[in-house]
Amino acid sequence: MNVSDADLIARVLLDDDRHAFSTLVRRYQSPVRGLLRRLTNGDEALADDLAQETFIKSYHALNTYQGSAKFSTWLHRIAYNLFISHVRGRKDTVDYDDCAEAASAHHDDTQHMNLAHDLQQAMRHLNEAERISIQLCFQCGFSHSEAAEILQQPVGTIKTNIMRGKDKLRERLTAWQEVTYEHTR
Amino acid sequence: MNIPDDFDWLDKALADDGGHINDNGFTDNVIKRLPPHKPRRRWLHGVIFCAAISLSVAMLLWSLPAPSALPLQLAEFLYSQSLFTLGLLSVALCAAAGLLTAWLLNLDK
Repeated sequence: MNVSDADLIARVLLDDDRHAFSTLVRRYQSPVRGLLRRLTNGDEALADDLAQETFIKSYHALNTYQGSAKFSTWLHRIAYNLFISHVRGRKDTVDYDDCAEAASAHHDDTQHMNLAHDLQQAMRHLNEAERISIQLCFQCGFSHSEAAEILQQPVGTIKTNIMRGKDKLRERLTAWQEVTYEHTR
Repeated sequence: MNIPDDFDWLDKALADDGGHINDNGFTDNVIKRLPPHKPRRRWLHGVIFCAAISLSVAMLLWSLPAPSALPLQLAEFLYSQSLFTLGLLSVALCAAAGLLTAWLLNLDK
């Protein structure tokens, strides 16, 4: 039986139930780690460190979760804030372009992987707001309003960032547009 | 080349980019880093509640007004009982309070 997030949270709050909390972590580790991997341009070690911090912070702050937003939205907001704090704290020492190169070095040469690789490279040319908006809505599956809640920005700003970001991606991936169209015809 | 507007290859490529990440011990590592387990002592709530009731009963007995200030039947009852009976009455009240507390805590589950 699939226990709801609300029930699991109640168990953690009432009894400090570690099993309930581990169920929550298992349920959300993939999307949270996925988001952080994308934000760190593929630096898996850093992303997993930040993801661990995210869950530990959420454990300590669970009594402040009011249930007005979905638990996953709340969790992703913590992850995003931790990432921003990390970037601000280590602005001079972290080179995310290098991280991206390292992450993409082991990609094979199938068409799908090449598209993924080129997409990842193209994403680096977006500004942070455009990139995170696209990642949340397309790759993490959040709605515009949920992404707005995570980033604490108006929904209109999210939509604009996505539109601008996609325009830039289309420009940089023009060749792929033709290949994928031919392939699906 | 004329590309139809409704074919959004980019949306598909963006969505394809996200895949499931296997746990591989991640959850266990998070749980290990949590502070030591401190189970909530529910029974303590009951004890505190009973102690509060006992204290209230003791204070009530201590500050009993003159028999003339109480309703006649209550005054007759209280002053006709021994200290032992009043003690038993306190214990019964505590037990009732404990049961009530346990019932309320179970409702939260």
